[in-house]
Amino acid sequence: MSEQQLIERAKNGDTKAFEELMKRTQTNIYNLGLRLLGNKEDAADLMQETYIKAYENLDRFEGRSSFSTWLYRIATNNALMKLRKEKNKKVSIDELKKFGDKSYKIEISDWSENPSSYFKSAELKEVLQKAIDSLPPKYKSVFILHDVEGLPLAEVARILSLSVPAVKTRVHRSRMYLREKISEYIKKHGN
Amino acid sequence: MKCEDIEKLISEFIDNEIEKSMRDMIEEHLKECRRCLSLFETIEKTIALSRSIYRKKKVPKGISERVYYEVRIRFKK
Repeated sequence: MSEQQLIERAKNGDTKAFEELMKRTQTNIYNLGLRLLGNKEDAADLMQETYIKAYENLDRFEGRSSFSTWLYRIATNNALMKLRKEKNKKVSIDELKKFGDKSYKIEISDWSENPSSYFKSAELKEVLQKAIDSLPPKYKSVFILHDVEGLPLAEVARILSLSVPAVKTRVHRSRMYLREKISEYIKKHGN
Repeated sequence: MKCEDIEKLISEFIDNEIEKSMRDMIEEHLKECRRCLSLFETIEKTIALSRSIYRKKKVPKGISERVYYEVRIRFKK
C-alpha cells in the first residue's frame, strides 16, 4: 500500500495503517534521536513523542512535503528543545562565525601523512564526538541532518524552517570547526 | 581565484552547489594549490569520520513495542 493510502486510512482512525507508517519510518526517527541526543533512552522518548504528535496532528498533514520530512520536522523540533536544556559547554556562535571572516587565518595541516588506521582510533572518534556535541543546537541539527543523515540542503531548510543560504552557512561553519578540532588533536598526537 | 575565495566556497563545492564555470575554476585552483587541496581533503575526511561514528542502528524490539503501545493507547481515547 502506498504511503498516501496509509495516511488517508490512518486519518480515518485505522490503527494498523498508522502502525505500518511507523514501521516504515521508525529506524530513521530512532537514529535521528540517537544522533542528536546521544543515548537510546532519549532517542526512544523522542521517537514516542514524535509519533504521538504526528498522530495527534495527522489531520493537519496536507502532503506538501513527504510524510518522512514532516516526521523529521516534528522530531528535530522536539530534539532541539531537549538540546537547548543541555548543560554541557557549547562553542559560542561568535567562535563559529570566525570561519568566513577574512581576518581569520585558517591553519591547514596535511593529514595524509597519518596512516588511515590512525583515523580509526577510538580516541580520535571521541574527540570528534565531543566536538559535535559542543556545537550549538542550531548548528548541530543542521550538521547531523545534512552531513550525517545525508539529507539535501533544501530538505534540511524545510525541516528547520530556514532559508537554504542559512543552512549552507551553518553546514560550512560546523565543518570548519570540526575540521579544526581534529587538526588540533592530530597536531598534538599525530605524526 | 584566491585561496580566501576557496575557503568561502569549499563547502558549496563539496555539496555540488556551484555552477559549472565556477566549479572548473575551483578545480583548477585545487590542482595548483597544495594548501587549498588539503583544506578540501580534510573537510571531506571530517565528514566521512563523522558518518563513521554514527552507524545506523536497529530499533531495539523493546523500544519499538513500547512506542507502538503508547500510540495505540491514544488511538483508543
